[in-house]
Amino acid sequence: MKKFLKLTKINLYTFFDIHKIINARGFKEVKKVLPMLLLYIFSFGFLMFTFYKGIAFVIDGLIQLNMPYIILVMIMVMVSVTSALTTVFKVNKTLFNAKDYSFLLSLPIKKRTIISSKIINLYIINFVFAAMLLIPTYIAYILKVDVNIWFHFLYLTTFFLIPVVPTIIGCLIGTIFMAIVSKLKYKTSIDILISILFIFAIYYLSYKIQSMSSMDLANISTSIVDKFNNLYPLTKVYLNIMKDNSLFDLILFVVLSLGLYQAFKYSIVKFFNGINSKLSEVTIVNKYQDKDVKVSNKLYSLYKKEIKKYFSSSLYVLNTAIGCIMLLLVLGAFAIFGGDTIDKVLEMPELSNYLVFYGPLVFGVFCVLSCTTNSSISLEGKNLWILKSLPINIKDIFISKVMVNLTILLPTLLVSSIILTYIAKLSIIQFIALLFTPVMYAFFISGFGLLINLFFPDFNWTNEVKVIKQSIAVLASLAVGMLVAMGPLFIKTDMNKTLYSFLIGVIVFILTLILYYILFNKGKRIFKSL
Amino acid sequence: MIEIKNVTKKYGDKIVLNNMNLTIESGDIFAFVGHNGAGKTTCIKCMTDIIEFESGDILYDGISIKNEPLICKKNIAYIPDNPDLYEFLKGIDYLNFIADIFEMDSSRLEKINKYATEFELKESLGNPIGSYSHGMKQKLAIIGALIHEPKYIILDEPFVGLDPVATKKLKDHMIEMTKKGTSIFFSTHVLEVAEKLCNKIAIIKNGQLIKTGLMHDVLKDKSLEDIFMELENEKIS
Repeated sequence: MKKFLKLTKINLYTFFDIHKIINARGFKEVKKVLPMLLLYIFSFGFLMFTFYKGIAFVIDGLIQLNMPYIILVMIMVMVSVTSALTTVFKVNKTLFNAKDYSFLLSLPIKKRTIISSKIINLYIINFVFAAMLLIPTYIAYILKVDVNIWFHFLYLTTFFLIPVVPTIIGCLIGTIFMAIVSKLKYKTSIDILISILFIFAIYYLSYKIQSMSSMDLANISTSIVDKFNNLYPLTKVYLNIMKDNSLFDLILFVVLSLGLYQAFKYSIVKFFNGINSKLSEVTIVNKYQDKDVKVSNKLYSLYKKEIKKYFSSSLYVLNTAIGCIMLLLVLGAFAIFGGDTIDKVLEMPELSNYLVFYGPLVFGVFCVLSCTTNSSISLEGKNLWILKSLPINIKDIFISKVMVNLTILLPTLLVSSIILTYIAKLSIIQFIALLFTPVMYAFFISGFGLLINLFFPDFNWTNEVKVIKQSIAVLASLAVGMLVAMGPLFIKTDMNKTLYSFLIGVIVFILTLILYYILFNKGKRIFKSL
Repeated sequence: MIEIKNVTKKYGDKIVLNNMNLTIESGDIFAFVGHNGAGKTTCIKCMTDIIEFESGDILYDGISIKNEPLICKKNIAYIPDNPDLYEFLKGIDYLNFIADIFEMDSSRLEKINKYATEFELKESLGNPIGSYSHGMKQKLAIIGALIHEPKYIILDEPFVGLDPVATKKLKDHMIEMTKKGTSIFFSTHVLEVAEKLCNKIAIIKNGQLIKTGLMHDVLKDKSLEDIFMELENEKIS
């Protein structure tokens, strides 16, 4: 137990940078850590406040329908599905293929203890992100709904247990993926492909569940719960606990959560070594030949290196390109199979104006979600010495990283705009308006991600999940990017929509120019001091 | 010629290099020795522009690395103590990358083949670096350092992880290159190698040079190990 706690503590200290905070001594070190801490508090606080406002609004509506408890079920399902889904992609590099794997196995620690600490690590990460939704829900609920003393006890107990089952489900699916991938030659490519197919399967399944039967308006609450239960089978158990204070269901919830954890922990031991060894095997691609020696210019060579880094990590690709892939597939499918729906859409009054105004903003959001640069400095990790010791202009390093992001974004934006123009029969001016602003967003977010990562780099990661998904640079670029992309929605104007769209594009263009000036001056100085 | 002039480097309040002065002439093989944590790696990182230093300057043929880092680094090859290379690249991709950065033309093919054959790495160049052992990575880093024929070679513990054949090859290349005017500066804990290979030596302790000069002047009739231990004990007593 001692070893388990020690391992878990080390994992969590490293993952959440707790060691940096508690080890900060003296004014200078505190000054270094403080902005990071404040930004974390601000980001989490801001997100939780936003969730609180949204949840409180929904509760008000549900009170009118006399079923406020539905919000508890909704949030529980949302947290569970998200936790399970994100865990699937964290299994690689956390449970399997972890950098500390060989080292830990060489120590006198039981394999089961190592596995337990890794699972608990995944659980705690899920718990922290679940808390961001569960705490605002709790506050909004007790403020708006009359609850008894039992509610507090039951909510608190289930609060800690909700992420357990999704973590185990995610681990199980992730393990099956890893077992398949480990037997194949092109591990990363297959991993990316399987993961994309899996995400589409989940979306398709939830779509099917939504359209399985029409809502029974007379019995709307049962209908909603049934639908959620189809998506996540523990929904009804949770509802019975929270709505009817059912002790039996609470016990069932506890037993199921802990039982699944224990069962998974014991059964995975058998496959752990096999999968890990297979995953660490590197495929010998081909024999070196003279024709492999190729001459490129400096910038193109840097770009090639960056793009190879990008495609070498399934997590990096999935975290940043999935939005673009989905946008293209949805628009493409709509254009090809839309049929009647397209005709109905075309009948909408002011359609082209709406598209020209909202289209760029939606594309802008996709640009923000597909930012690759906000972790690209941190991902240099222990290789940073190479870039720093070679005769490379720092500006070229930045450009090559921005180019990778633009390689993903610009073709997506171009194809999406063409499809929308084709579907809605827009004019050439409207097409340009549809494309111009998102392209500006793409340049803006690529530069901004890079700059924020320069301010908050992390080179001492052991798992790239930390810098790709949950670093302060990623959170901050997401928050600011969203603000820039969604900002125009909150400004009311009577201006012509096409003109307004161009105006937004011009404003983002000016912001981008200022940003790149800062990047190529202040950013260069920061890079030198890293 | 490399001139380290009054260089001071601090980590927080701790002085890691204290007003350091050193000159490495053209054709020198300069050994840099000292106990763990003495400041060797920090000094080397300052020389290669990996880290900044508070005061002083480092000049390559009179050009400051602080003011003109690109001009200086075009003539420098550096190998770190731990060859953390891009594991997602194939060996040949890494060498192509290095050659591109040093703007080498197609003549790189001949050099890559020559050094890869000598260091017995040619067969593995098509494989990802992630599949390499520590020694293979070290060999690849060495090939990357040699192919662009640098004027200055700065190495941090270059022989760690190398097999005896590769060690001998590297030593031979070091001697051969200094004959053509290349300056080599390297840190090591292997005092026998330093004694046999180098014409000059600098001993560092707690960020300060405590002995520097021609190898035979420093040694006189003693071994480097004896000198090193004497200096260590002197300071303690």
